[in-house]
Amino acid sequence: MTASSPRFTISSAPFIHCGHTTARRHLLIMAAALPALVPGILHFGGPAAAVLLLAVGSAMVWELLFQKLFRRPSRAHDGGAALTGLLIAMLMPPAMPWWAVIAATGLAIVLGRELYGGTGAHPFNPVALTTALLLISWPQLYDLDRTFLHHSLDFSAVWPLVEVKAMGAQAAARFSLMDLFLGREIACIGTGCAAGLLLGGLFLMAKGICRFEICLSFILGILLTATAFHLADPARYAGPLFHLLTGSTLFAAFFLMPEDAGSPVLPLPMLLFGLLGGVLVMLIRNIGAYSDGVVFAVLLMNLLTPILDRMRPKALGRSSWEK
Amino acid sequence: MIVNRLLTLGSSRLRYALLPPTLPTPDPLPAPLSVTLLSDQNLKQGMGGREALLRLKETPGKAFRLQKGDSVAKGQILELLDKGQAVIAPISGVIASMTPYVGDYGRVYLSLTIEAAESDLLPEAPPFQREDMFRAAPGLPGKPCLPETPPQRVIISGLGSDVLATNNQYVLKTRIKDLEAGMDWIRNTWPGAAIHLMVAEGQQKDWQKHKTCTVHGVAPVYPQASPRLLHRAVTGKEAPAESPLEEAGTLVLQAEALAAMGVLYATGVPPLHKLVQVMGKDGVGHLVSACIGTPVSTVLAHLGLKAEYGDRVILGGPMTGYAVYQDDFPVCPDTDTLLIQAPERGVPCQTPACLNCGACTRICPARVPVNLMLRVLEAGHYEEAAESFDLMSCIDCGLCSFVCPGQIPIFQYIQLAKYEHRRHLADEALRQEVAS
Repeated sequence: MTASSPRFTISSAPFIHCGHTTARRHLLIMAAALPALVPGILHFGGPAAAVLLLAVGSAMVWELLFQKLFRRPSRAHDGGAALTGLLIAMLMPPAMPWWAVIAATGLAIVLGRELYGGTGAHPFNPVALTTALLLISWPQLYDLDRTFLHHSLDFSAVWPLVEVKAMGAQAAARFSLMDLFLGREIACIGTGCAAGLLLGGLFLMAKGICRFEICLSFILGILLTATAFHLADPARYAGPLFHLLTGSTLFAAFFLMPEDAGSPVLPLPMLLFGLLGGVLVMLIRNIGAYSDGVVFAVLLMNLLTPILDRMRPKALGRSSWEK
Repeated sequence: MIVNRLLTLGSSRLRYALLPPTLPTPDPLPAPLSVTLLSDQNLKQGMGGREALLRLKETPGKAFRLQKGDSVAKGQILELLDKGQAVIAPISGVIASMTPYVGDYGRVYLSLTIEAAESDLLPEAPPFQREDMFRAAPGLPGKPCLPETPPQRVIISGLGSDVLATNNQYVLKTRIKDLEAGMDWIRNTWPGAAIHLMVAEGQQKDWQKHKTCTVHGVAPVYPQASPRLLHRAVTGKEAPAESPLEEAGTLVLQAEALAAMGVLYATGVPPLHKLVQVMGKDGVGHLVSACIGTPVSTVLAHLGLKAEYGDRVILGGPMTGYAVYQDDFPVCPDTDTLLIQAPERGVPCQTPACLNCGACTRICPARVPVNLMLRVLEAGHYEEAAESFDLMSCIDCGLCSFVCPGQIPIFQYIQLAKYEHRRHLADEALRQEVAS
């Protein structure tokens, strides 16, 4: 072989790719969040939009700062930080002060993602982690009943989950399921409109970005446990549909639980992951201290993922799992 | 070829290219003036690299059986040393150069260049002996790898070795006589071996009348024609991952290889033309019949295709092939596909962080936990990958890299890890031998 021919590029196989990229994945998740976000912003107005924009912007700036400081290559084009910021804002009341928003995205990016090695390497869902930290540190910021004092709304301005926790199941009767489904309740910016969340969730499941195993088994876990509680004491515990449509249940089902880094990847572990997560949410809501314990349930399930990941079939031609 | 559905509940599925009902006529290339043959010098799995290269360079007194300047005849089996694989001279001529060539993962070859003589020398033409098949096999089109111990079953693959290759399908449709001669050889040599023919699903009926072999239909979904998956389809059992497939009693032959063996058995003359599926940058496929050893540049010039600076020239298919940096690289006995890829169509080289989306793990046909294994591979812990994360179960299909949204070169990591792991095992065995 002589050296006279033109030089070609060499690279490793395979030379073709299915075309799905990380950036596209993150963009599609953000697009799927829109149907839930738009009614939220229409209901709660300018303050909600301000929180949303500040969260997305500050998350990206935090990531940029961290990556500059630690001399890491910038991954801003992935959209991972923007997505984290967007999801954090969706879990915030519209009246969140600016410093809390910036602190939240800082915690999520630095403590939740980058300290563990960035995209995909974090053991906990950064959105759930940050919301849990803020919920413990400044519980009054998340008190929805107080944040809506200055709003005039055309529907009942009380927080359904707190109402039910304090007053028992008859309080649930004051909220029509249709109102809850269409987002006519006070809620966080992006978690109120169940119809929008369902729309986005169906889209993500159809695209295979959210694994349907996790989403559906999580919802099943909620419904089963809520039904069991309701049957045991109908006066104290509200019914399954009420729990499905209030709080951040559907938001968690489609945007928190199936998050890539913290969830298992094979069918059986995914089903268990979702089911146990749903059970945990109901346990925290009905017998725990918090009225909406979704983020804590997500964090606890993230802890279980490494164990669930070990439940796998034997590989081709292996007689045992380990030699 | 690629099915990207709007609703992607699963992942994208890759299908083998199937021949159209009206068969293309392979374009026969004229005999080239100079050919290059790569003679594989690896002793066994894991024994390539430095050891094989040193062995080539330090053979006492360069006691090769061939020397530069020797005349060779068309169809002559050329053996360099007692061990190592032989090649077959596709044209008559003079050996113009002999140089070692190091391929991927330490594979070492001796590259022989033969310049055509003015007239064809008459081959010595000894009557064909049955054991000659074993010597000639590595040089035949399709590169059959015949075991010394008789196999229990021979599986003939009628689908391609990669998604684009159509050579086996073409042979199945057009060279039935050669295939039957090949089966005769198998029956006469290994009377105990059962013959199984694997064809694309729906095409079994063409073969039902041949009672000599069992016909199975295979879904033309990549990588169902991979040898270990064919073994499972035939036997219903999985071959142990740590040992070669031959130890499970299975020999997998490409249909083109069987036809070549049939020709050699029936006529005593080794066939030296190879069917190659060529695809240029325009995406139009051509089926050509090229002499083994023909430089890639000659094939491209014949078809009027251009490969320019910066393009990728890929031999052996888009999923598992390899890119070469010169266009005088030869068509090898196992080159089923030749692909020219424009720079902008290629997959960029990058190593971003793994998202843990699990697409690789769910698509893996060997059920390897790729997402977990990748973490130890990135850290270079190859032994741990083999022990705890099923590295050696991998069947080298490349689907994990194909679906990875981060475009991480997972397949490359796995290939490197397998090479290092085998080298480690060979080193261990050598050390124990010395100690005892």
